Amino acid sequence: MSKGSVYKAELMWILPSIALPVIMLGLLLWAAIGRGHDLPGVEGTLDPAQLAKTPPFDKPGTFPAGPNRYQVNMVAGIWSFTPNAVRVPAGSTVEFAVTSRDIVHGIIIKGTSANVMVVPGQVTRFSARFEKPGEYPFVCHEYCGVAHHIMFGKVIAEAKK
Amino acid sequence: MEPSHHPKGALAFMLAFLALLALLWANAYLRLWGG
Amino acid sequence: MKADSAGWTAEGRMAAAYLAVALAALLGGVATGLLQALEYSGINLYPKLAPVVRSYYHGLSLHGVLNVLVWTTFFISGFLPLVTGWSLGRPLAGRGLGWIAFWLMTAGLVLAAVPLVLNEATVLFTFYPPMKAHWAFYVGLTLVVAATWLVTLNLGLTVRAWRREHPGERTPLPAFMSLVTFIMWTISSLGIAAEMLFMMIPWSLGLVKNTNPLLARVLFWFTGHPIVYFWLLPAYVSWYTLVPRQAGGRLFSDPMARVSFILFLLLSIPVGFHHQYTDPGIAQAWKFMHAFLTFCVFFPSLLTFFNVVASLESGARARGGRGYFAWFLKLPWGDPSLAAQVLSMLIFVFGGIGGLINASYNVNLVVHNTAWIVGHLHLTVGTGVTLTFMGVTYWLVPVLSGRALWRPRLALAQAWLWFAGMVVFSNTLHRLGLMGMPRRTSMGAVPYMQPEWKALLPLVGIGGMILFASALLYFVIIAMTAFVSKKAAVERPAFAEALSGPADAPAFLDRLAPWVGAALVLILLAYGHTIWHLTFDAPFSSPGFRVW
Repeated sequence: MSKGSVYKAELMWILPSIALPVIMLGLLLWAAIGRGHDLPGVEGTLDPAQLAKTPPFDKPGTFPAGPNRYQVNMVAGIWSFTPNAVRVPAGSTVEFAVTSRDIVHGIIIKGTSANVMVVPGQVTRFSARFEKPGEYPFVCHEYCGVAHHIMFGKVIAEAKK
Repeated sequence: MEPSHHPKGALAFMLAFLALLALLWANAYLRLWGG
Repeated sequence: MKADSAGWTAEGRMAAAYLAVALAALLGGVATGLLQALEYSGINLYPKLAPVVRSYYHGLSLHGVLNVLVWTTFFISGFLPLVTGWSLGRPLAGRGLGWIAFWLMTAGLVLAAVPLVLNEATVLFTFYPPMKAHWAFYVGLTLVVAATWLVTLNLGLTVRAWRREHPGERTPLPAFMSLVTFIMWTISSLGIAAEMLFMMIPWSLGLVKNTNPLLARVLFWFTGHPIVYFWLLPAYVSWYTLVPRQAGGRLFSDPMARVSFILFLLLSIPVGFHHQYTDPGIAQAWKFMHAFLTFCVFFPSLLTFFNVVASLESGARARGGRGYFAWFLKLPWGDPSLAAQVLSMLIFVFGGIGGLINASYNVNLVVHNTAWIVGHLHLTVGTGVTLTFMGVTYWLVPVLSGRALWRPRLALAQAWLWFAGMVVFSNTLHRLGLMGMPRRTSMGAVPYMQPEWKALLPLVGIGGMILFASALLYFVIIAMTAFVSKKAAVERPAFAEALSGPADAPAFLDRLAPWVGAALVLILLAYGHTIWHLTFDAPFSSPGFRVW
């Protein structure tokens, strides 16, 4: 077989090997920028020992923030989330701001694509939409000690009357 | 026996692998919306 | 290399020492693994094991450290210098240096193991602060890492001595790959070394009150991604330089193999943010840059896939294999070492696909910290690496012990059992992950169990039991081969010849300094800003917590 056709044969797999990841990267950018499924970024730092004096974590809870929009300010700590129950009407979009009062925790909200790390000294902001009525459990998914497995809460999306 | 300079088996396996990769990746990607 | 009257060579003795420690660690690793798999299925054996194992998380810490830090590092530190010496046809440059490295590594292991075993370091192998373990845990692990630098030095001196004796020749492939692997590892270990020396050790000794958890995570994952290539590349060394001949064929392309390792040197390290996509405090733009570079580092694995499959194909066709796919059945499936490694490649394919999904920027939101990741890592380090290393020991232990492999048909069964167990275990975990089930969690004790998880969890227990049975069989076979099996003068395996050989490889691939320089530049670009910013603008305000 001539050298030329050997190289052409290699192109048969090298070209798709490069094209496929390039297409994937394009789709990822579109999902992040075009459709808003982006990752957490830089949102400011704070002192984990001073949360009681640091807005918005001095008043954790769920607050209305516009039509069909809510703001949840949450503190994660060993071994609970505050608040651990979030009630919103079904169809709401909820913006979360979370920090830790002690060690590294994580949150994953079942039924959404919300999945973040919570690091003491840092603020994590993300949003999730709760379209269907029902319960959406959220659990800590980063090992945080001997009772890590009981650290959970739930978002309750209430059906409109 | 002198093996062929063009390993058609490796090519076949590679293309099958890339197809499998595309399928499984698309499945995960779509869950960004389904989740 | 000269053998003494009992048949041992100096190199063999050193490899055997590393292998003994590695296998002891693996034994502890698989035992703790079984406990976890059973716990997932509702069978909680931990209370019966107190006070030796104090909790699920104590067991999990042991499992992670023994498997991914000890089994791997010790095996690799024994295997790569051995094949280096064989391929260069000369002993290692520093024999004393080699033993100092071994004893330093072992001392570090013992120092870290004491608090780990005593439940004073139940912080998992990632030890994220501000969870604070006993200082001896951090110091011990640092000594293990420092010892690997001595191995790098020894390999570098050895290759340099060989090059002086063989001017103008390409470094033989096994030695080239071993050196590149250790150089890549050494550069990558700077992250964890900095985390230990500047943060964890002073903090755990009480010299410094507060630490910076996000900076610690960034330094950890600086090393934490390339460490998987430190585990994987030695498996690739076997697949490239030994397996083709075991399959009855030749390596398809020596130059392409060298290029793949140069690409790993260049691209393994500036990618660590793909383990931190969901972290706060790191800008999305840097995360996307790491995503792009991670997609780039997928390419040398694709080169490996093609080259290794083409090499296997040459062997299978020499044995009568035909067609586009059917030739695969004509590989020497009766050889346990070959079979174990080919089975590990088949499984690893799915680990590679899962890895690209994990690396896919926002798609990571679907899988991060879920059971999917557990499924993934058992395909990759748990099978691609571990089953390959097991396959290597099926010829290595006979060579070292001078005894024939005990019951090769059982060894074959062991490899197939691992394959079957892993299919059940890992597939189930991937599915559970897509259903949102968390990892690193004592699932038998959660108050938030979901019915769809509960339905699948027994399969994790079943898969785990099959894997454990395979592991037990493996240890029996190895012990019998090492001490009881009939004596046989076992030759070390010959390295594969190449279809397109080292003479076809351009000299610039052999000059490593420019590639190291380029790697350092890429690392600076990918990490410099974030590490600087986190050191000076992120708070050092976290005291230590003992949470177990």
